[in-house]
Amino acid sequence: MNWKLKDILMIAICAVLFGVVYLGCTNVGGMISSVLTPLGMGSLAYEPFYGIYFMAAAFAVYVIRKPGAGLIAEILAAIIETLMGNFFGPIIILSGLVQGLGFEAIIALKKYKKYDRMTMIEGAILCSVFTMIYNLIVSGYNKIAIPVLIIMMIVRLISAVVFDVFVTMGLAKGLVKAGLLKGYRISGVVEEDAAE
Amino acid sequence: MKAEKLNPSVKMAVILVGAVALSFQYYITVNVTVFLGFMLMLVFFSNAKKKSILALLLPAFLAALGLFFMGLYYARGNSLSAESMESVSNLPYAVRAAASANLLTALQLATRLLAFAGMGIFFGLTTDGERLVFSLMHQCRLSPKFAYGTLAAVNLLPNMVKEYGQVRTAFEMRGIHVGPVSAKVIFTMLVNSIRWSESVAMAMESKGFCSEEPRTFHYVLHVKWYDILFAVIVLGAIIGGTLILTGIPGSI
Repeated sequence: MNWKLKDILMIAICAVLFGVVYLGCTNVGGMISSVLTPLGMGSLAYEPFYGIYFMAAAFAVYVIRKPGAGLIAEILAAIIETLMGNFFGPIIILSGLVQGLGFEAIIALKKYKKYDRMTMIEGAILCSVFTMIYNLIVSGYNKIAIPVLIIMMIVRLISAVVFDVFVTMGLAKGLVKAGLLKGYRISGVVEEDAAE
Repeated sequence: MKAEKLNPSVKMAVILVGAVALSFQYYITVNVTVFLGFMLMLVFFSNAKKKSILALLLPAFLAALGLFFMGLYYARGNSLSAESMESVSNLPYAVRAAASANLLTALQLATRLLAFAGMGIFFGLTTDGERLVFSLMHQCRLSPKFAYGTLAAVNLLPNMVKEYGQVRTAFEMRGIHVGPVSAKVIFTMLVNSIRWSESVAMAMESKGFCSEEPRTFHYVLHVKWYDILFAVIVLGAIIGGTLILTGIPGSI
């Protein structure tokens, strides 16, 4: 695959940045969680931040626009999160793989040609669904009552659409306007997307 | 023998396979054994500081507690509301039976999370980042481009944290109030990140980094006998334990 060192560094450094933001959010999530824990909803507190968790994949897919961008970005981000230190360690790589697949699958279905808002929304939804399936198996959520899972899923979907569609696209377009993404596929086509 | 000497790729593969194996069983005994086993290895066979173990254990316990209560109140099939749990002794037998079924689910979920955390903390505190990336290159054929790119990015982390403080101060000085995850701050930092990625790439290439040519390595990591032993013991305990408990009816 034709990946330049510059592209890899861009994705890796952005993954570090999103990782820092996400870690900051999980601390906030931890505080909300301890309030919600006696109500049995402690795990819900982390859901509003899932969108930030997926941002590395969304941003890479949207900016780089090459096959494999979402998967590679998430695996890089997961290795970086493992190196930054958290209590799940390398298990993060499993969930990273699942997240990357979510975006990658939608973009691959559209033959790596369409990158409009609708595609990104579909990617965010698929990513949320995939990670929920992951949670059902790995986190044991299949033992939790369905109404609770539905509430979690709704919060996760909203978060994914807000952060991975509106915030990610806004940031990327801002960067194009600032002239920073000149070497990337996004810079030539961002006006077309804006017209849609 | 210290856990730091284990091959990072082997350690990582064992933990990933172990996590998948744990995901398909619901034995509290297996989960607790894994958690305690890794904690004991950390205390007796590694140089990890007690303080850093506790610092990572605390959020893990909080998350496990959250999952425990979620399982206790909202387990599928026989859910209980928070109110009905307050006077357990006055409740009829059927309700208490439901509560005990929920308690089992709650413990299954919480101990599984702790087992994951035990493995994750063990990995995190006994694995040097550089060794991990070098080992990924030698054992998992990660291309040097990705390996050194990842290392360069991770080593920018302290700068990133410093930058974050500076950007926020700059906004405050101009009288613009910014929250901890403001889009304005993230945008400014993204701008800097992309500039960094360009200059780091240029710096690496100008010093002769070339990803297409074959290269030599100063550090080469190998898989040794004790890596195999570690894999056999950990995976044997998880898979063997699950199989044995499946054979004993009524085991938890």
